[in-house]
Amino acid sequence: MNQTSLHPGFNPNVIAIVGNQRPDSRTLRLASGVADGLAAQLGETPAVAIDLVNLPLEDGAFSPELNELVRTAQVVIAASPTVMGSYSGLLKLFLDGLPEAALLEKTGIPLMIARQARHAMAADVHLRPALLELGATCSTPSLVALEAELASLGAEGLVTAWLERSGNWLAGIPA
Amino acid sequence: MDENGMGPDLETRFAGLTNRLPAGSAAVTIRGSADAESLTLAADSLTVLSSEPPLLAVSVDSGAPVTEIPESARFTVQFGEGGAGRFECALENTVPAGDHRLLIGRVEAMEDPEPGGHRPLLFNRSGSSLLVGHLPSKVPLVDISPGGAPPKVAREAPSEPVATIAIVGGGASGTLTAVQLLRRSAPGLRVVLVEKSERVGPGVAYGTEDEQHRLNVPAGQMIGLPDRPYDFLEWVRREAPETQPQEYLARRVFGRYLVDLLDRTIRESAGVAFERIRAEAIGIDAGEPGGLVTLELDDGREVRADRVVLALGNGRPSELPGIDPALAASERYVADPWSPGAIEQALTDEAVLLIGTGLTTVDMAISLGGPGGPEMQAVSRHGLLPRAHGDTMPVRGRPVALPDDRCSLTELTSRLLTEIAVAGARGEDWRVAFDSLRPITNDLWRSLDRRDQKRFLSDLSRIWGVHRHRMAPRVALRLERLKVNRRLRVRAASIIRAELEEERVAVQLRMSNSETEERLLVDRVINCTGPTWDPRRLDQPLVGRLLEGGLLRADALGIGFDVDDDGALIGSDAVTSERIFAIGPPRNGVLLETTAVPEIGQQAELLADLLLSGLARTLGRARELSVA
Repeated sequence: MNQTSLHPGFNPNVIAIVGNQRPDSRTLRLASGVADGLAAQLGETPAVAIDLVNLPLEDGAFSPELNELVRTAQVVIAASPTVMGSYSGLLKLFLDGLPEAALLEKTGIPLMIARQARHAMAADVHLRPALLELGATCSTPSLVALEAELASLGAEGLVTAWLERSGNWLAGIPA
Repeated sequence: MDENGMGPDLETRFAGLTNRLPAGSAAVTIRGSADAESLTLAADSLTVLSSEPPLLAVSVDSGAPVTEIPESARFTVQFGEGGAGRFECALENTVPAGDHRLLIGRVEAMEDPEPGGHRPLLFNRSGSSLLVGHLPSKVPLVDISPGGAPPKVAREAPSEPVATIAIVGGGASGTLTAVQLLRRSAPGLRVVLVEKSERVGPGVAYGTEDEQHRLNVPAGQMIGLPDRPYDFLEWVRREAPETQPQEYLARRVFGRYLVDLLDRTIRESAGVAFERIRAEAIGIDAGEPGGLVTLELDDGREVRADRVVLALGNGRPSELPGIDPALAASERYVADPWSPGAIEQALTDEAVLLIGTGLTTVDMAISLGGPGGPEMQAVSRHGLLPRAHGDTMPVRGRPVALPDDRCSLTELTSRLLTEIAVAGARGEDWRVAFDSLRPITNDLWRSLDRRDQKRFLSDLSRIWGVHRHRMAPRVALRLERLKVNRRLRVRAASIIRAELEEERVAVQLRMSNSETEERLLVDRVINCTGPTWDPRRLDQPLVGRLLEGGLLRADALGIGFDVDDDGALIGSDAVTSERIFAIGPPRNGVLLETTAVPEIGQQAELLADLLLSGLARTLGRARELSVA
């Protein structure tokens, strides 16, 4: 009776993990938008975006409940701003805490916000390999949002454009 | 949130805010040339304009039934409680001001209140002001102009009702609506309440005689009257002074309170007639626009009313697929566990299947869980029982932080989950996060787009429900005990079919987790899937007639009546009714959560105001002044 945390009955198909040091970041907004859009394409399944910066750490790791959410999801979006030319340490801490092959048979989607064009490769060079290492299938293009684009197109516009571009690959995700 | 236009409009918010602003008030008696035309109104404000000459201004609703005030009119302004203190004025000028009129009067005579014994009339709807007095409706006003006519009594109320509001349904929604109408109306109104069962007040929800059926919220949160939040608690304490606000009382206690509240209100409301009709409304004729609505009763009588409020309560559970017609027609299938005596036979059964695992199932399991009762299995797709309330009021925990602008369902879910996770890790109470959304649930729901609303209903409503609609700790404990003693088994499964097999019922289940099937032999199947409000599925003649007549349609999601923000029915031609309204659970589709007493109490208050202001021209200004 005394369960205090995430309910075992809630199994979102799409989960976005957001590793931005600032709560309520644009990364969160963008990742929520992608999660939402994917959920619609997969037949209106539940989706959720987890803002890691809000979660407490126990002994230097996130709650096992979070791993449980990942375990039951089909699509995992790993989202981060560019920090020192790579993805954030916060996201790394989460990925490190996942069990081996935690993303096997899941679709992994790298999502990064880059301040400058020369950082645009970070998603493919750093984040994609980490997801592959965990067993994910990363069949879509990474979603890289340049800050200038984000300002001009808005999160919604970027999400729509990316979903259109990724349509062929998304069709392969089992619903 | 209001800044984004999600909340009520400017006028409604203004009215709401100014209602909480304490302001000097007064009873104004206006006399024209003929004495018979004298009329007493509650002024919405009283201001001193000038000392030389002595001028006063009072503002009265333009809807008040004094279309023409003759230039020679005089008026009495009574500003003290119980008739103490008054000014006699001659009308200097009237100034139209929006929906009000400002009457400026020159004071010609005055009566001092007794020193020290004077309590001014203050108007404050929130009931939290320092001093609030009674509108002295029962004290005759006496003309005291010096050397004037001998004292005479002003006419107070028309002897015959001039307007009728009919309420269909005498459960909690109907009772609270009647109470608010009686409290707020000016003299001349007739409230007719049509209820087929013997008792008015408890309805189905609070009519259960089972002592173990507890309220699902603590006593201190059972707020039927928004302006008197502790009325229920104080009422309980008259007999049981030790009752604490965090206690989960038996549901029938609240039922008895409703009965008493209505009785009290009827006694205290002078000039407003209350009539209770024991019958079922089976038909309705809207008549001509602006005319009267006619309700047809099952005993052949008719009720004609200016306005009709449908307070229909909770509909019976929806029909289930897979139930064989022969079984459905037999007594081995209970279609509505809340109909009187429905589960009596099950008490002596050996095995019973409860379909559903929500609060209805909890009630039934408790009722059937006594010594000698049946073994029970409860099934639902998720197999999740409601969570329990905490043993104490939560002391620590964080509310859900929401962004300033619109939020998608995914964002909302994410934020809620985050708070729950944080609470869990810190040993704080996750309930705080859920409960923080309660006051804004209706607004959040309306801010979601149709797609998100559909997603919520299909994926999340069950999870939301088990956390949000919790059971009392004591009830949770009893359920645990039933489970430990193998009297109750809760499983995640769906029903493929159920049919009669000799004297028993054979049920074929598909387990949700393993996709395997299982066969079950029980004595009875009880539909505990909970109430429905889709008008097309409600088995009520009146609802059927409303649908046929195009006066009512289902909302876009098919989970309730289509109504506007005020509860006015929207018909098949998308036209909003001006005379027929719904209150309580049937507003489900528009509000998502509208089953709990605090929400219904608020609806009743707003609806009463709306209906009375619509009838103001007939009735005069309805207004409430209450004692702090």
